[in-house]
Amino acid sequence: MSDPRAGREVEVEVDVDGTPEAGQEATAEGAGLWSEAWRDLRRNPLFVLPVLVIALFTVVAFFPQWFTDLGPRSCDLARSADPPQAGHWLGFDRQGCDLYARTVFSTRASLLIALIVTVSAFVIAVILGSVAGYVGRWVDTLAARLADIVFGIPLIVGALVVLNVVADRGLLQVSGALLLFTWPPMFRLMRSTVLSVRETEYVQAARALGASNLRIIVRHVVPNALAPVIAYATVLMGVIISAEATITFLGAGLQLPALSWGVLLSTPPRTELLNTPHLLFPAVPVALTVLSFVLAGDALRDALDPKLR
Amino acid sequence: MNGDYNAATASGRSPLPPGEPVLEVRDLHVEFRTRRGTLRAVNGVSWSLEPGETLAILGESGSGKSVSAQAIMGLIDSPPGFITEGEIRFRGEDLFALSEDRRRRIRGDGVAMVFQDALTALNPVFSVGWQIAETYRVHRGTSKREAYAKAAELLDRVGIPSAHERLNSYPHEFSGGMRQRAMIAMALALDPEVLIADEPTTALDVTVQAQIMDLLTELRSELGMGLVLITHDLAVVAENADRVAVMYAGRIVEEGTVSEVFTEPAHPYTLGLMHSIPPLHRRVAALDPIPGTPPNPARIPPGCPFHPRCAFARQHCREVEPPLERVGEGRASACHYWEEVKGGE
Amino acid sequence: MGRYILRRLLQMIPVLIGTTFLIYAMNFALPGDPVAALGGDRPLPQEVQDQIRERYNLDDPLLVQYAKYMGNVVQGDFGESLSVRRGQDVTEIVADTWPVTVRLALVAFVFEIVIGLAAGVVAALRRGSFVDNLVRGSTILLVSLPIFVTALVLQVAVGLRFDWIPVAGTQQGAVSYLLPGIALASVSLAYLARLTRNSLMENLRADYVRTATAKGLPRSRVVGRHALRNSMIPVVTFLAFDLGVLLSGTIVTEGIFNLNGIGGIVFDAIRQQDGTVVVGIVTMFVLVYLVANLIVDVLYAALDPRIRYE
Repeated sequence: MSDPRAGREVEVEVDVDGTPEAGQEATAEGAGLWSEAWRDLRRNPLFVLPVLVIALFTVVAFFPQWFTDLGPRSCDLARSADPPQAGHWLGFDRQGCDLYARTVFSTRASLLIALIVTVSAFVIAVILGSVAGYVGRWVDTLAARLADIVFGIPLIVGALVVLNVVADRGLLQVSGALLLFTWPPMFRLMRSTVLSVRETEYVQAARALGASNLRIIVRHVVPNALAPVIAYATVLMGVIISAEATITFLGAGLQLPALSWGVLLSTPPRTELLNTPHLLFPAVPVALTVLSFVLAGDALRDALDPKLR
Repeated sequence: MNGDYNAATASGRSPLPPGEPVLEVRDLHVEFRTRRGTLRAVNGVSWSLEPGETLAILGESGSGKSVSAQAIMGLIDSPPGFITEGEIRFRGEDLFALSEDRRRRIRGDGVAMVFQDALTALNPVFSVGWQIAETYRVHRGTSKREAYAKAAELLDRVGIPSAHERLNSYPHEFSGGMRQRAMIAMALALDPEVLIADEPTTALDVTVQAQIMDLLTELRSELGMGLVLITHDLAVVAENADRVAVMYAGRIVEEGTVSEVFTEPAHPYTLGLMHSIPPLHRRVAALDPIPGTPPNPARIPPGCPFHPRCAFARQHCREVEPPLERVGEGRASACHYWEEVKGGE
Repeated sequence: MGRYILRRLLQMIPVLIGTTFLIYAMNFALPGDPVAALGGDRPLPQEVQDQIRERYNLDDPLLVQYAKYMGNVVQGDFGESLSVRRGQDVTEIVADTWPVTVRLALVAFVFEIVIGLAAGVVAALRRGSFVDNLVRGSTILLVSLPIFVTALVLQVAVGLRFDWIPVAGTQQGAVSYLLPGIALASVSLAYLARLTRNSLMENLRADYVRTATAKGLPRSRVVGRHALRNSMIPVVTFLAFDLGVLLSGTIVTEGIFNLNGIGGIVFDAIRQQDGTVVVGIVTMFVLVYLVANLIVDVLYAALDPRIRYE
C-alpha cells in the first residue's frame, strides 16, 4: 500500500546505476532517517491533511462542548428519529436526542478505545518483539507460538467471544478484548525488524565492543526497528475505531448510556432505517477518522522506509 | 553450435560490409526527471563496436555506463527516464526509428545482455531450463521439446556439468558462478551478434570471476560476436578488452586501445584511476586516490565536469567544457590540456 | 512435498489446540459467573443453570473442562443452543444454515477476486494514470468503511431506488445475494486490489523483469508470465488470511440482510447471550481458517520453488 511517488524514486536509483547508493546506510543513524522522513512528510498533502483531520477530532474528543450548545442528554422522546430540521441539522436519534450533539459527544470514547488499544499493543509488541527477536532461543519460540495461536482467531470474532460473557462492558473491557487480538501482527513486525537489525554491522560492532545486551537493545536495536512499527500503529488506530464500531453495532461492545459512534449506529433497528436514513450519519466520522489514520500510516511507512529513499 | 550459427546467419543476417560497425551509439542523451530535479545520466555519448571486437566501457557507479546499455536494450522506464537526443544503430538501422515489435525482435536475437547479479536477474519461480528455452521458443517458435534440447546444449556449452539434469533446477539451487553461466547461456540462445555484459563478474568470488571472463572471451572469439563489457574494474578491462571508453559524469572522457590508454592516459581522470590501484611489480608507500567524489548527476559542475577534482585544472576548465577530440590514431580525449597530461607521465 | 504437508499438519496441531483452548477459556472461565450471564436480561431458572454446569463440567478445573469439551467436539458434539434455538444441537443448526453462508461467501469471494485482482493489475500497469488514482482513491475509501456501514448504506441507497434488488432475506433466490455479497467483499476487495497493485508494481521493477524484456519477449508475456506469477505469491497468502475475515464478516452481513446462515445465527446468539452457539460456531470458523491456511501453505510451495522441501 505504498505511494507511487516512492516507486518512482526506486527506479531512479536502479536506473542511474546498478548499485544502490547512500540510502542503505540511512538506518545507521535513526535520527537522520526521522528528520529526512519529516522533511518529506510535511510536504505531502496525503500526510498533512489526514493529520489535520485527526487533530480536529482530538480537539472534539477533549472539548465536545465547544462544538455544540446541546448536551448529550438533551433528549425528548416525542421527537424520536425525527428527520433533520432547522437547529437540528442532523435530526434526532431514536431516543429523541439531537444526533449531532450525540455524535460530537461520542468522539471521546471511540478515539480513547483506539488509543488505549494501540498504545498497549505497541508497548507489548515493542517489548516482547525486541526481547524475542534479540534473545532468540526458547523465548522467541514461545512468544512466536503464542502469537500464532492468537493470530488464528479473526479480530472481530475473538472480541465477540470475549465480550459475549462480560456483563458490564465499559471502555476498559472493550479495549481489553480488542487488545487481546491485535498485538500479534505488530509483535511479528517488531520481531522480524529486530531480527534484521540484529544482523546489521553497527549492532555487530557494538557487540564486539563489549556493549551489554540490554544496552544494545535499548540504544541500537529498538530505535532502528521502531519505524515500521510506528507506521503500523497509526494504521491500527483506524482499524480499532472500525472494529469498535462493528462489535458495538453487533451488540457486544459499549452499552448505553455510554456513547460511541458504534453505540449510535447500533440503536436504530434495521427495518426502520429505510425511513430514517439520517440515523446513519455517525458513520461519517468513523469513515473520516479511519481514512485519516490509514492514509497517515501509509505515508509514514513510505517516508520511513530506507529502501524507498 | 557452429552449425546453428551458420543456419541463423543464412536465415536472416547478411554479412556486414567490412569496416562497418555492428552497433553504433551517436550523441546519446538520457535524463531522469524526478521530483528532486533532473538527473542527466548520459550526456552526448558516442561509441561504435566492430564485429568480433571487445569494447570496455569503464566508469565508477553513477558515471552513466549502464544507462547507455539500458538505452540500447530499451530497458529505460519512461517516465522517469527519457532519451532526449541521439541515435543507436544496429547494423545501420536506427533502433529508435523502428516499431516496438521490430525492436523487440532485435533484443535477445541481434543484441543480448548479461546482467550483474544473476540471482535477481533470473526469475526465481521458473526453472533455469525453462527460462533458456523460453527465449528460443518465443523468437523461433519451436516446440517445447526442441527448445529444451537447445537449452541443454547451451548449458553444456557454458560449462555446466550434467547439463541435461540441471535443466529443471531453479536459480536458487545453483551456485553464483553457475547462475552466471546459465545467464550467459540464456543470452547466447539466439546467437546474438552483440553481447552486452553489464558488470558480469562484480557479484562473484574472485576465482570465479576469472573463469566467467575466460568463458566470455572464449565464446566471443568462437562465435564472432561483438562484446560490450561494462565494468568499473581496471583489471578486467586490461585483460579482456580491445578498446576502452572511459566514462565520467555521463560523458566519455577518453577513448582508445586498451594498451595505449593504460600506458599513456590522455585524460587526468584516467590518469587518476591508474594511480589509485596498487602497481604489481613495485612497492609504493601509499596509494594515490582521486580527491573528492564523482558529481551528483543532478548538479554537474559547469565547464569540465572533472575540474573540481583535477590537478591540471585552471580557469579555462571551469568555464568551457572540453569536447571529445581526436588525439591520435583511434584515440580521443575530452581534456583541454591532454598533451600536458600525456607528457607528464 | 508430502513431507512438507505432513510437517505443516503437525505444526497446525498445537496452534489448533491453543486457539480452541483460548476460545473456550474466554467463554467459560472469565471472572464472574458465566452461566448466570448466559440468560442475559432474563436469567435462566436455577435448575437450567445447574443442568448447564453439569453438561459443560463447569465445576471441574478449566483444563479438565476443556479436555472434556474437546473430547465431545472430536465426536462432532458442539453442545446445544441455550436460547437462539433452545435445545437444538449446534451441529444441527450449522447443518441447517451452512448453504446460505457458503453461497454468500462464494459470491463475496468471486467479487473480491474478479474485481480486486483486475483493479489491482490495471492500476499497476497504468501507474499514475487516472485509472490508477481512481483505484487507489476508491479502495482506500472502502477500507475505511466498516462492513456494517457499507452494508447499511447499500441497503438504504439501493432499497430506496431499486425495487427488484432485495435488501433482506433469501426469498428471491440468487439475486438476494447481490448486495450482501458486495458488502461482505468490500473491504477485502479493496485490500486485495491494493496488495495486487503494489506487489505487481514491485515485481515490474524487479531485475528478472528487465531480463525478460532484454530477452526480447513481448510485453504481454513479460507481464503475464514473469511479473504476474511472482506477484501472486503474497496475494495467495492474503486470500487465505482473508477467509477468516470473510467468515467473521458474514456475522455482520447476514445479520443486517437478515439471511438465515451461520453468521446470522451467531449475530442472534451474541444478542441473546447464547454462549454454546457462539463458542461452537467460532471454533468451526477457526478450524476452517486454519485449514485454509494449510492449503495455502501447500499452494505457496507450489508457487514459489524457493521454499519447497525446506
